[in-house]
Amino acid sequence: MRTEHVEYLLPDYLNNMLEESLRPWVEAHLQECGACRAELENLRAAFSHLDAFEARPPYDGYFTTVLPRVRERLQGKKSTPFFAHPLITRFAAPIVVGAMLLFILFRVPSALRESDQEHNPLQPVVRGLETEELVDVILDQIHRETISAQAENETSAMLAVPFLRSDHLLAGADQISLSNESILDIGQTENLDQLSSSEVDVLVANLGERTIL
Amino acid sequence: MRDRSDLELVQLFQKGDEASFNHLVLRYQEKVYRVARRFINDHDSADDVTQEVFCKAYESLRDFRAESSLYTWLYRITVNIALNTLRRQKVRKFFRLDEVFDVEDTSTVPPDEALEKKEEKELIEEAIGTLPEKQKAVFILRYYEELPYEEIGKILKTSVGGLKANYFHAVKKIQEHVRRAHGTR
Repeated sequence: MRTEHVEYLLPDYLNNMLEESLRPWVEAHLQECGACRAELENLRAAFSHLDAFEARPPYDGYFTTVLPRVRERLQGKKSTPFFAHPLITRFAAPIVVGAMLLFILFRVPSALRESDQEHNPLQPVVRGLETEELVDVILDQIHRETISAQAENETSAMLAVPFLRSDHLLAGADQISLSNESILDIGQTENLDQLSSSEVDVLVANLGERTIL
Repeated sequence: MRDRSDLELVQLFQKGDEASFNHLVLRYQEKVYRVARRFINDHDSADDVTQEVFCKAYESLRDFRAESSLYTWLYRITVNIALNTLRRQKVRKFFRLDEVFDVEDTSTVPPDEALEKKEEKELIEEAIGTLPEKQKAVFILRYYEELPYEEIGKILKTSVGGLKANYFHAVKKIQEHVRRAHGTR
């Protein structure tokens, strides 16, 4: 018998689990083979360590709890709703989730784009235009905006012209009945119509200083 | 009911007698738990495996054809579920990098102190934990459960031929692991 065949029998030989028919054969080999005897001693040392290892026992009374919990688990499996069936959770649910993800990835951005188009007044104009036409539209838009801005400035300027005149200023100031003493320290009167021309000059000068400040 | 054989209880269950299943659970729960605990070194996981084994048995028992003994059949379920649990634990452990970094660096601890910290039992558990799946299963079923190779072959659905070699190499690896640990003294 070759050595490697005997060594595979040594663990069972040591633990008295070897078939009786093989035992004399192994013993005879061990007497002749020093390598196998050394292997036997190594294994004996290993088993001495292993014998010291006992699986940690569960807590007292543990085995009275197994059956009720198995029954409970079985009951839970029985009462599981159809959508929690393994076939559903393993195949159908991932498919549904995948479909939802695809919908979110593709449909929602598309909806957002449509929403943008609704809010952008240029979209219906621009859609379907050639590049040159698009350039024309943009230039036209810029031109319109420029004119609009200029018109606004001009209108503001035209509206501002009357207020530049001092009599208009004084009339307006009279109407709102200025009461600021720092401005009206030329007199205690609040009726600007009664001011003399020199007093009006002082008032305008004061207003000018205040504006500068 | 307690005196009935496994096969009688199975047949009763197949006829709709639920109580016979309870007797099977009570009869085999310790063996199933013990094997599960040999594979997995924590009580909670072994307990979970034990319950799952009996749930699986309940679902499959109606189709049990007694081609093997009931305990061989239960061992097979136990080994499969225990190995699956171990695989899941390995995956979880792999992705739990924070725990990897939290592991104590024993290289800075004096060898004597490090070995003192590690009890012999833990060393053996650790050694068994390092075995490849098949060697581990063969070792546990042969050494601790003392099953014949023919039964182990049926449980693992493998030929008997290589089982002795698997067993031998498993013991050698455990021995080597222990020797290395003692060598650091």
